[in-house]
Amino acid sequence: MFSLIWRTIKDRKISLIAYSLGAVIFMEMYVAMFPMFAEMQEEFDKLLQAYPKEIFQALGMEPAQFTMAKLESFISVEHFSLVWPIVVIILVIAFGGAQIAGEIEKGTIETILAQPISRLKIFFGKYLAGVVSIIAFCAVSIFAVIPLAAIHGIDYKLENFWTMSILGFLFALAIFSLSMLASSIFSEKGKSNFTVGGIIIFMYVMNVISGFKENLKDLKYLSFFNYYDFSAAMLNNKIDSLTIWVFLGVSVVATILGAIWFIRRDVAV
Amino acid sequence: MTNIIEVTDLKKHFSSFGIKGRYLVKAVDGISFQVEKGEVFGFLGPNGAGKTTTIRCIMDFIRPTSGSIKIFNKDAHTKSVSLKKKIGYLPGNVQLHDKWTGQDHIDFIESLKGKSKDAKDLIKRFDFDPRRKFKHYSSGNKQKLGLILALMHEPKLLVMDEPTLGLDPILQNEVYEIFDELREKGHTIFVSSHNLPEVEKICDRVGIIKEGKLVGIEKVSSLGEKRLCKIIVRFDAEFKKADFEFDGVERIEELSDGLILTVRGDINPIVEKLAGYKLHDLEISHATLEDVFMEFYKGE
Repeated sequence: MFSLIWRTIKDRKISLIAYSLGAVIFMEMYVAMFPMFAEMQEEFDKLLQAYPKEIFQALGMEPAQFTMAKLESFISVEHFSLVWPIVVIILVIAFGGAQIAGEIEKGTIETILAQPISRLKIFFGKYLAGVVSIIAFCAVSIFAVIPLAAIHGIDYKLENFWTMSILGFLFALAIFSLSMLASSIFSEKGKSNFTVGGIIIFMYVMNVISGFKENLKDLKYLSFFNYYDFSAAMLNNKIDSLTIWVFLGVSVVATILGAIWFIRRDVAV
Repeated sequence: MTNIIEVTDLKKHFSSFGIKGRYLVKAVDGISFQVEKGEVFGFLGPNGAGKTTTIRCIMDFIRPTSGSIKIFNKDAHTKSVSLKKKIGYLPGNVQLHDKWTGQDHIDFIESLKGKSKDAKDLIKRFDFDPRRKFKHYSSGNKQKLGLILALMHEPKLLVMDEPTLGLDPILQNEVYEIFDELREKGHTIFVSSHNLPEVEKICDRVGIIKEGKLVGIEKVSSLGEKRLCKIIVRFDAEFKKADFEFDGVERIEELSDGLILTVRGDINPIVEKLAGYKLHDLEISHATLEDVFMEFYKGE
C-alpha cells in the first residue's frame, strides 16, 4: 500500500507544490503589508467597527475582536477568512476527484484492479495520500509565517498558528472525505468535483443566509463554514469541541461510505 | 483435466435509461464454459456480444448478476486478491498513466506484485524503450507495454483482450512464440479476439458468444470437420444434378456447364462420384474459420 500512497503523492506533486506556493505568496503579501496596516491601526479599527454587524455574522467573524494591531487578527481577516479556504477547497476537491472517478474516466484503474491488492487498500492508499498532502499543504501554507515574520521583523503567536493549522486540517479533511465519497460513486471526475463543489457552495450560502435573518439562524449548523471558526483559532487560540466532532464525524462517515461503495461497485471503464 | 476457469450460468444485466425510460441490458445471459489447464481458449464474438463483460467479471472488475466464476477452483470475487498473483491481464484498449514512463509502470507493478525476473527479457524481445512517457508512445508501443506488464510475472493464467492489436506481424509472431512457451510450461491463456486467423493459429478451443449467449464451444482442430467446402466443377459432357444430392451437400447451384457444390464435412463421396465423369475443370476451396464463425451467427 505504501507504493500506492507514494505514487499517488508523486502524481499530484506539481499541483500540491503550486497550491502551497500560491498560499505562501499570499501569506508573504499579507505579512509584508501588515506593518503598514498596523501603523494606521486606529483608523482601520474604526472603519471595521463601522461595518454593519450582519456582514461580520455572515462571514463568521466577531467585530469586537478584530484589531489591526496584531498579526494574527490581520492574517485571519485577510487570509484565513476567504483566500486560504478557497485554495484548500479547490486542492482537496480536485485531489479526491482524480483518485477514483478520474482513474475510471482515464481507464487506468483497470491496471491497479488487476493487481493483487484489495479495493479497500486501493481506497485507503489513495485516501492516505490525500491526508499526507493536506498535512503538507497546511504545514507549508500556515507555518510559512515563521520565516516570513522573521524576515519582516514582526511578532506573532506561534501557538495560534498551530491551532489554525489543526482547524485548517480538519476542515480540509472533511471536504476531502466528501470528495473521496463522490469519487467512489461517480465514474467521471467532473461529476465528482461538481457535486462536492455544489455542496460546499450550498454550505457557504446557508452560512451567509443564517447571519441575515433570525428565523434562519439554525441553517448555519448545515454549513462547514459555521464550524470553521478561524477567528477563535487565530485570536483566542481555541477550537470548539463541536467543530472537532463535526469535521471528524463527517470525515469518518464519508470515508467509510466511500470505501464501502468502492468495494461494492462495478468498475467498468 | 484440471479446469483453470469455470464459468457457470453467468449473467450480467445492466439497467440503462433511454427515451422510453428504464430498460434492462442483458450483456451476458447465462453462459457456462470451462478452460482447462495448459490450453489457449479463444473467446470470439462481435462488438457488444458480451466478451469484455465476461472478462471483467472474471477479473472481478464488475460483479455478476447471478452465476459463479471459479479460477484455480477458487471464487473469482472472494479470493480475487490471491488469484491476481497468478493472473496476467491485458485490457482491450491499453490505458495507462500518460505522465509515467514505461519503466515507471514496470516499477509500480513490481512494487505490488514483486520483482520480475522476466521484465528485462521482455523489454528486449519487444524492442521496447521504457524511458519514454506513456503519452509519447505509438499505439503499438502502448500495446507492447501492456503485454510486458501482463507477462512480466510469468502468470499461470493470462487473460487478454485483443493481445496483438496494433502490433506488426514480426511482433505478433513474437507474442505467439511467448504463448507457445507458456503453453509448454502448462500455463493457461484466455484470449478474446476478433482476429480469426490469429485464433485459428494460437487457440486450442474457441467459445463463440452472440448477444450475451454462448452459441458454441469447439476445438479449433474439430472446426475443420465442420468446415464447408466449395467445389466448382465443370463437365466436358452431360451431367446429372441428382447424382450429387446426398448427405453433406448443403447446396447445389447450376452453371451452364457444371455445378457449384457447398459441402459440409467429408468430400470423398463427391470425389468418388466425380470420378465417373470427364471433367473440364475442378476447383475445391476451403471455407475459413471466418466462414465457420459467420455460420454460427447465421445459424441462430
